[in-house]
Amino acid sequence: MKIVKGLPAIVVFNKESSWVSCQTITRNLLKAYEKLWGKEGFNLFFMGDTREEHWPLAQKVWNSNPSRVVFLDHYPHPMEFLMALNQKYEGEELPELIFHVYGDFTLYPKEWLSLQSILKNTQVKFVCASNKQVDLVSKFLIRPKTRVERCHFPSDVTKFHFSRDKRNETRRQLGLRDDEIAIIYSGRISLQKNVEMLMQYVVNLMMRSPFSIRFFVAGPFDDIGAPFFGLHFEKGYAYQRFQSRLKMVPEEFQSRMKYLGNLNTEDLHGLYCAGDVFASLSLYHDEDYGMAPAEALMCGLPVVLSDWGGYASFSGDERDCLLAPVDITGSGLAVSGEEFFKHLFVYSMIDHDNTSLRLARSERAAKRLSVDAASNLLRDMYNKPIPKFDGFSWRLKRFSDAFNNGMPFPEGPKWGTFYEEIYESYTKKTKNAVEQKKSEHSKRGYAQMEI
Amino acid sequence: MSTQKGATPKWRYELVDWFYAHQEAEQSKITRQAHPDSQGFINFLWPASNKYYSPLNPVFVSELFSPEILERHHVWQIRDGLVPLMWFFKSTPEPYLTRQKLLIDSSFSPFVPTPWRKFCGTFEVESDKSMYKGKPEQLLFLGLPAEAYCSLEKVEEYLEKIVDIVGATRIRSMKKLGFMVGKHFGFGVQDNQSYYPEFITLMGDYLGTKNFEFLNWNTFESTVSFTGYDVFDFNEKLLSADSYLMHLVLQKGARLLEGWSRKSRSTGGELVRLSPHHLMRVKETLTGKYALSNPRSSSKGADQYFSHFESAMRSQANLGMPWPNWAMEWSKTIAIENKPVQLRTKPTSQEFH
Repeated sequence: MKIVKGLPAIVVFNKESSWVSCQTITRNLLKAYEKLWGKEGFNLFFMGDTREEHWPLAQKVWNSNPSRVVFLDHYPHPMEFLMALNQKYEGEELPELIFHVYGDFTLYPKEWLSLQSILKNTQVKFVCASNKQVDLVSKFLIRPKTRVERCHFPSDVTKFHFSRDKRNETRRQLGLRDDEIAIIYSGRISLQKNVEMLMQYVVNLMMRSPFSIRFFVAGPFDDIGAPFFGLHFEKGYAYQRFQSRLKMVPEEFQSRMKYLGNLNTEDLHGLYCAGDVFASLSLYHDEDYGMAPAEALMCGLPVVLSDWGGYASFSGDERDCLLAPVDITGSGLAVSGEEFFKHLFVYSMIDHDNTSLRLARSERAAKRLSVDAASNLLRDMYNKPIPKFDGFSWRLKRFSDAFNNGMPFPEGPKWGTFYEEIYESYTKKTKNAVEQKKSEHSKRGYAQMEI
Repeated sequence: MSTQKGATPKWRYELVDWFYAHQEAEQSKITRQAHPDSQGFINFLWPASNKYYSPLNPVFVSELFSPEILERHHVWQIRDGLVPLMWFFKSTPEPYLTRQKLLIDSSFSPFVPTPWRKFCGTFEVESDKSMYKGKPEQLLFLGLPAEAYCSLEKVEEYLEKIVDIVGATRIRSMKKLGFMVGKHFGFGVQDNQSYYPEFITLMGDYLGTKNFEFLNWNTFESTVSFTGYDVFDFNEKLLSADSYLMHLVLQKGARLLEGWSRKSRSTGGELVRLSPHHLMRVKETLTGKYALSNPRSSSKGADQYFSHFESAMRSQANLGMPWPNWAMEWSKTIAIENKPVQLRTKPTSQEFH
């Protein structure tokens, strides 16, 4: 590819990410930039994950004299590359740096801190996929306003849209009768994704709904556990645990639940079209967005989600998305099961076989979540001036120190701990929580403090 | 359960339990602690010896060093290869089990001494039969290139078998991935520094050098799917009969290459599913008799087992590792009532009777 001097530089990983959703995100973000600047409007550079590869890349990027450098991938972390690039500029000001950050931002506190001196003299912008991730990243910056922006991870409308034919075909393959309601969960099956809890509510729904409910789960098993709290599982545990929970479901309902495996994009599209409600109770600490609910919405599927992290960005229109409140309590994370069940029940009663309803929902989602929508957001963002970076806040240093043991939150996800301080932005602030905090603050003697 | 905050919550909240609900995962980790004296053996086999979770409770015998641990489960899947297993039987000639079953690799069945046979069953890893559609399209090779893990003679034998399954011409144009963790001990004559280059040369001779990519640990472990790959582990099963690497890729959608040649065989037993893609065939009893009971036996089958046993004892898997010491350490702690047999030298086949 020919390098044109003076154009923005976009840097991506030279291999595919091991996370399937991240492969899609990078591809679609690149499409959004192509829409924004044109295919010839930027130079594309590929970053390797070894130190030896960073120096020649820094040379190439420096040669191209970029107006700004945009990092699209979550991996590798740009620390090494930026150190090499900084040397090339020999003390001169670096071009504008734009980082699209993912849920794993919190995994790299040391790397970000070590970039502090380089970033401080530079115009820097962090781009998050959801408002709650904007809040979370802002906690780690000094004067975060205008330095952290939102641009969703776009979904490809050509791959995810409602298709009547696809719905009929997939429902036939799944053995779904016309009068049966299909609840869908897709995504990784791991501890923090809370699939077990979801299963319980679906069983409840099966017991109480006047309709025949079926439940379909798709995605890879992931044994990651909850490393932030010191919970590490051995390989193979997630699958065994899922199977054992499934066996505990009464037989009449067990037969209505099916694990479909780790599906490819085409089959996933079919599943979303065939489904009637998408549901997820994820409380994953990296849940900065949610590609699965986004793609489900693009296929005209209503979604019932936990009000956690990036999931909240899908709310706004009650015809499409309902959220169940989440709170960080003194005993751990808690979800309003009552609300979740109510939402699930309401959505399962709607006529989802109605093509015009599905198409309308699909169109509404495309307006908000598509590549075009992302391109528009990026345009607005680049029209604003990019301020110089003031540095990372003390919280990042504290987080980095806590990370040294590999377990930053040994107390677990509890109220009144450092975890709450960081992740409170992932939960909706209920009136109750605000009042509770006010009373706690008054006990500590700073009653006037703003919540 | 409602939240523990003072004010009346607007909604009823349900606590999410990630800690107490997963006791079995934690318990399994605590259970499987290697005996300090055999840590060298487990380390040599890294990452093939990494732990994984299974309802069959996979362990190396050196991890079952206390009777309290042994009592925790009814079934233990023994991951050891033939050499440590024979040392185990040698050091503990009388079974000390009460109700437990030890599952060993199905190919080791003839080597289990008579007193132990009623306490043993077998296991065999299989890919889901429904996966065997179409022909192999991409290959994935695993192994720990070291004489003790797989001798060069065996490597060549396996390569011939692979070429036989896939086809000599086809295999050269196929995409091939490899994950090999080299094991280099030192520079003594016994360390055979030429092993690794010879191993790679053999691979090139049989499989071709084009379309071949070797993965590093990070890429290998973090790859989400190996769907579409047929996997083969270069493992002679002398040190270890059950590799973590194999389970990792099978769990991520790869299928056993050997399955193409044995899929038509119905082997009975019970199937225990370990992932959506692979399972264990478990048989609770051993068939046949102890094959090494009569060294003067002239039967063809017995000859075959004797020669396999002798070659195992003369291999690097036995000679290159301090087995007598390790085995003695286990026996000290394992057999409470049965006095361990004193080992003077490395055993020959006769010594096992």
